[in-house]
Amino acid sequence: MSDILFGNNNRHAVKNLSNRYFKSNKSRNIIAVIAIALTAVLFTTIFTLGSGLIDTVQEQNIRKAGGDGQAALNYISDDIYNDIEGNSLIEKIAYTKAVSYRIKNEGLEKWRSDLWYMDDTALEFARYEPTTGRRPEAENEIIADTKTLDALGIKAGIGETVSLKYEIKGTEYETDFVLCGFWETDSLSNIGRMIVSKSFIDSHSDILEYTYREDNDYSGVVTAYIMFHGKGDIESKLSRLLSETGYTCDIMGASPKEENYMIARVSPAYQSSNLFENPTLLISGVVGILLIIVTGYLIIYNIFQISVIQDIQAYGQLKTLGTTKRQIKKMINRQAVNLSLIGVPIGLLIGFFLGRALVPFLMNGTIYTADAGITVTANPLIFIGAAAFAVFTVLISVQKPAKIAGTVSPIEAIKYTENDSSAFRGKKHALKNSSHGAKIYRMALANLGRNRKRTVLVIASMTLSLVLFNTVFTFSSGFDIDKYIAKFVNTDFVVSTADYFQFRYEASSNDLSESFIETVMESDCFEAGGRLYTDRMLEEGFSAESNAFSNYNTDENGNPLVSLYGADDFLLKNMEVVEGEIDWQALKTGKYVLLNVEYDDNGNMIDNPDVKVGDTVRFNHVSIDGLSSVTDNHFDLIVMAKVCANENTTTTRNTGTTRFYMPTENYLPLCTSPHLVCFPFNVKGGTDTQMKEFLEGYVKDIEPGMDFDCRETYVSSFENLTSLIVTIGGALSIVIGIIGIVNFVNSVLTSIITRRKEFAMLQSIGMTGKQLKKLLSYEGLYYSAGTILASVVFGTLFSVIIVKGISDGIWFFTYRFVMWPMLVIYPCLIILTVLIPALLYKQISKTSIIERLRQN
Amino acid sequence: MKTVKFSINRICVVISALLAFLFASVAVFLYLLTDNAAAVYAILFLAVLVYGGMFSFIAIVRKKLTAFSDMLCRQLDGMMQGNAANLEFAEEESLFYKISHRLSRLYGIMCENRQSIAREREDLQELISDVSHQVKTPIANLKMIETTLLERDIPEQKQKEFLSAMGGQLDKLDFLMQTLIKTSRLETGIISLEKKKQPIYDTLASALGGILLNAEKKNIKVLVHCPESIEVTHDKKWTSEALFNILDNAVKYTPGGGEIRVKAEKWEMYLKIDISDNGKGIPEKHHAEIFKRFYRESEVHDIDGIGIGLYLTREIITMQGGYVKVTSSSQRGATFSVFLPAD
Amino acid sequence: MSILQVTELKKYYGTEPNITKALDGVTLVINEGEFVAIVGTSGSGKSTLLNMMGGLDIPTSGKVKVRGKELSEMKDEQLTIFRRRNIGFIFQNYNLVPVLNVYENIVLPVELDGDSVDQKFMDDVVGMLALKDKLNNMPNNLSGGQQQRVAIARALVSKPAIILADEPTGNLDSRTSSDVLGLLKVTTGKFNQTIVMITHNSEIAQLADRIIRIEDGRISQQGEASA
Repeated sequence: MSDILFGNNNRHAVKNLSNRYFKSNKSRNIIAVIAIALTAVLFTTIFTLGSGLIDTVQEQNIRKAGGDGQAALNYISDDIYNDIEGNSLIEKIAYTKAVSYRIKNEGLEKWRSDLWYMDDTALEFARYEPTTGRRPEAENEIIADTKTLDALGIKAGIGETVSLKYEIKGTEYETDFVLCGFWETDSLSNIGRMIVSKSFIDSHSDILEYTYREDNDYSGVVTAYIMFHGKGDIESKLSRLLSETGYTCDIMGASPKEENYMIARVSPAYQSSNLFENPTLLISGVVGILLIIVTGYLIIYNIFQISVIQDIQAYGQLKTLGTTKRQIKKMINRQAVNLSLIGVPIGLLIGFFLGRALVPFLMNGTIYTADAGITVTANPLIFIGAAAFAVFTVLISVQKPAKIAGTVSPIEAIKYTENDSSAFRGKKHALKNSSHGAKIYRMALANLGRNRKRTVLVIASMTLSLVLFNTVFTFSSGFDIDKYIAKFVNTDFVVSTADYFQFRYEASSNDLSESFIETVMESDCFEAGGRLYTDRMLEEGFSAESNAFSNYNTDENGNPLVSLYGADDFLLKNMEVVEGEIDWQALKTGKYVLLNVEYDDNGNMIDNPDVKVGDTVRFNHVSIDGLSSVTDNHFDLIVMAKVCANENTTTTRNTGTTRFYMPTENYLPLCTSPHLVCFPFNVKGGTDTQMKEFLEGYVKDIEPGMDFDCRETYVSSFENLTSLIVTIGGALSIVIGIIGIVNFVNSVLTSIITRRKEFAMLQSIGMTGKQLKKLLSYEGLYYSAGTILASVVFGTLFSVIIVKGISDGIWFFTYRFVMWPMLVIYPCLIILTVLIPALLYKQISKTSIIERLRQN
Repeated sequence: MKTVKFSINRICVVISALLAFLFASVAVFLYLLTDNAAAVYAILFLAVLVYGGMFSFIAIVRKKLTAFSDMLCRQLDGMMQGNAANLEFAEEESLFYKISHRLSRLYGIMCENRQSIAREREDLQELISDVSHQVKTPIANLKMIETTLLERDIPEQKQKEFLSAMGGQLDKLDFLMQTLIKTSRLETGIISLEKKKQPIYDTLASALGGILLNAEKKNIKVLVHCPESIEVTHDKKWTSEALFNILDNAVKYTPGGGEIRVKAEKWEMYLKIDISDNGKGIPEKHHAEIFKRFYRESEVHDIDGIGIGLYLTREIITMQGGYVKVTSSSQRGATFSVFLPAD
Repeated sequence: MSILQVTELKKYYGTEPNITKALDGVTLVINEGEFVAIVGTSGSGKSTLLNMMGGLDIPTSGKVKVRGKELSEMKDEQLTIFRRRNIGFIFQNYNLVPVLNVYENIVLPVELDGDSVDQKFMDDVVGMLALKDKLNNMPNNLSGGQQQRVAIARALVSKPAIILADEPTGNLDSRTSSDVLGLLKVTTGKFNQTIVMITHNSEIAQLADRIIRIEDGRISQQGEASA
């Protein structure tokens, strides 16, 4: 840096020169702008994707949770609400009161809908603002979502009568409401809502008293949703709020038995909003950014390097005329900045839209869907960050070429040819002992050695692309769909009640109907199946006298409650035995039981070391009456084996307790009122679609209370996930491939241009154009030979070491060594590298020999 | 200068006032907002820091500027003393070194001016001493002849001889005077040419006339080849003078028994006149010097002449749009080629 | 006072046995204000010598001292600045910057040093070299002779202490050549400049103060007097 105060005031000259050279170099400018824009596109896309993902996920989480609100206070009374309401920590608070949870109208079996009062803030939070009509005011006015109206068989129109039969604290009521507004049901919602006016609950306040503590009845219960001032740190704010108002909850370490205990939670939608808590996301983000920087660096560096070398004579000339190294560096930096000013905004714009378009693809690979709507906001941070990274990449790419241009020796640059080493004061290769003669292929090989760095660079970028391409295919061919699906369902179909599939087995009043099972079994497609039985928590339960199991819920003696199932042979046979052995005869005696062990996502068993195969466990049967439980039976069972029973097939889909299995015939006597949980079954090969259609019709028309799940759903979700990875990986490798080819073209072009005079000289002493083209083609051939060699070596290494390493961490992946993608590309590569130079040369060689010789 | 200083001071004052106003208003505002005296103190403290920073910065800058000015003054003093030792011109991108580089150049020019004046005076001295030296002999001779004629009784025949001899000496004096006049004319630039298209033959003949006698005396053969028809636009008197100088030199520096060739040729663009001798030749490194004013070869100091002949020749020919060049090497004689532009 | 001192300057290319000796031990001294002509056959090393004197090339051995500064001891940056301020180089191949017009080319060395050009002097030079109406042209629109004149103007306008000229009148007719030389002589006298000029034109050489002949990388002894 020159002295601020006394530095020489010669900036104008450098500025002027820089601008002139900039203007005169149109083709280089265009390529560079494209490269810079591309880099900016990549950055912006990633940032937009990331931010869009986070936003969309949060938005959808909110919608799934039923509405906005950082924290929720459940099952509180009006008094408690009034205590909390005025606290200074609260920015907004929503008040809702449950009217009825049991609507008896027909049609609401499959589509659950509750009756509530919600104040204006609550309507806002939950996004239940009526899109048509207005909020309910009069006592008999009501608003509802369209799906509820549909299920009730009521036309969605203002003024329609909505006759509801509902139960409050055991008493049935019937009221005719008038529909004064409605909204479109959110696709993510799985329950509906009907909302009454304030005047309704005011006039019914006597029957809507808060009695939850006594009778667990929801009617009259208040739920409040809170938005605190500011973002983040919700848990501590919630704790502060409660302690300030004299209450306590779980997260403060209290137990439900305490006097001022209430159920207060941080909304799941606001829980993991912190990026840094998610290491895999963070790491992949950082890796992605680094990758882009490297890619961008490679292209941009190469472009500037080539540009500098093309202009090296000009820089040498300037040196001769008194331009210092620093001034030349400034010139080049200025040009880079100018190019960035053009390229980066373009890239930002394109990248934003691209990222926005890609969010749905990414979403489809996760549990969220794109159909539910995407939120992508133009967060200025995205643009600033992407621009900063892009400019940073450009500046570091330009450093080396700028240095080269600055240190050029004036005289050598005037005489510059391909021997860049001497121009940059490097070593000179003085002598070459050779007696092979001037064979063209040898000349070609020697030419490649003239500019080692450039050769290596081109080969490196092409190799990178090939390796990446291969990696993508290695990944895609390793995705193991069977492993994936086995985690979810291990039979073709499962049928049960609609409540079951909505994770409401315990609260359901339905059982899976025998008629359904019989119909299914009668079908041609049916192959084999089995029934699953268990108890209902509110009626009875089982506990185990052992420290090996833990549960919050216990019997009156403090023994933890467990789940005991009776399963048909079909189901028992499908369970994977992890320890011990199943002796079927012995099992059927009823003295044995199978213990289920959990697995984590990577397929690792979470063993329970406190219980072993062969241990005897004493079970108690517990009868439940209201809130009290009584142990009225006990029996000992020996653990015959530890098994793994599929979560989605062989359970009630909503427990976390330890599970035990025994054969149906042994179980039924032990249970007072056993309920049929579900019926998983397999169909004959190829009949999946047929059965699916049949089931769809059945549950719609014949037994609307029933529902089913099938393997196919998971198949398509798997395919979405894997296709996502393949798409992105494929796109990336294509982009890098293009970059590799562009590098190649660029470097061939430069080498041809710098050797113009040399070629003219060769031609003037008798080398034909054809021979010259052959020379160039040979050079191209060597490039591809080098690339092939490098990609074989590095590709194999990368695949075996790194890909395998990563894939071991993905549970639905089986590593397979794959090489064929590269082998497919090689012939194309060879053809390209042989043809392109010849084509390019044709363009250049249009002027006559003398003119080219004379040209300086 | 005064205006510059004025505005800088003014700027400082204005900025200080603005800052003071800003700080004051922020302090008041803050106080009103937070009712917190600590905030006001904080602002005051900040204000003190800012002003302190500004003052020290200005002080530093002033110091640097003064040092800069000092360095320059030292340089200038050195130059006035005639002492070049102080001059430092480093090769850096800095204002100071730019200035000092120029100063060193200026100094060089001043020195050179002084020296060239000294040189010219020297040359003039030499010319005068040369002339005075050469004038001595003819004047002495004239005096001798006059004395003899006055004091002695000389027969008429002898008297005529003496008078003749006097004439020769007077010629010489005349020649020396002419030369002096020409020299001064060169200085003042009063050579005016009257160009006319005329045969070169006559001009050549006129020039030759002046040397033939001397050539004969030394037994030097003069061969001339010039077609009478060649005509060219030139000033006869001066061109003849120019050619005479060359011929004169040729005669002077060719040993007895030698040969001088004169050849005139018409080329497309030029008329070329070659005057060659087979004397001792002129080494290449002097080829440029011989055309300089007052150039005399060291060995031939005793031969008559002042040494401005060739200089004059070149001036005359150049003024007519032509040029003169010499081709020669040691021991191989010399050829002077005069080019006059053809019409 | 000497302004340029060359001591035992050698420039060799390649290694034994295929060595090329471009300069093989040249020693000379040039004084301030001198006009020296360097003559010699092609390949004799004249351009190499000039390049060394201008600090454009590095000698294999030997020293070049300009204005008291030893060129080989200067770093790249210093050398460039030194060159910019002290030496005006007129190249054989003109060496004009293709992206600047004639005016900008001429004032380039001046602007690189952050100065504004002496407009009166510039006008005189430009007028003398008949470039007045070509100031906005780009170099590739000029004939060889015009380009050469631009190169000459460039070397003059910054008033350098030394002007090194490599065949500066090669592409000029004799009338213009003598005009150019006249201009050179006047300005260099006024600004105390030294000229070292390579030429193969003996008329031009004879306008100099001194002629030095280079033959086979050395100063030829033929030029010396032998009594």
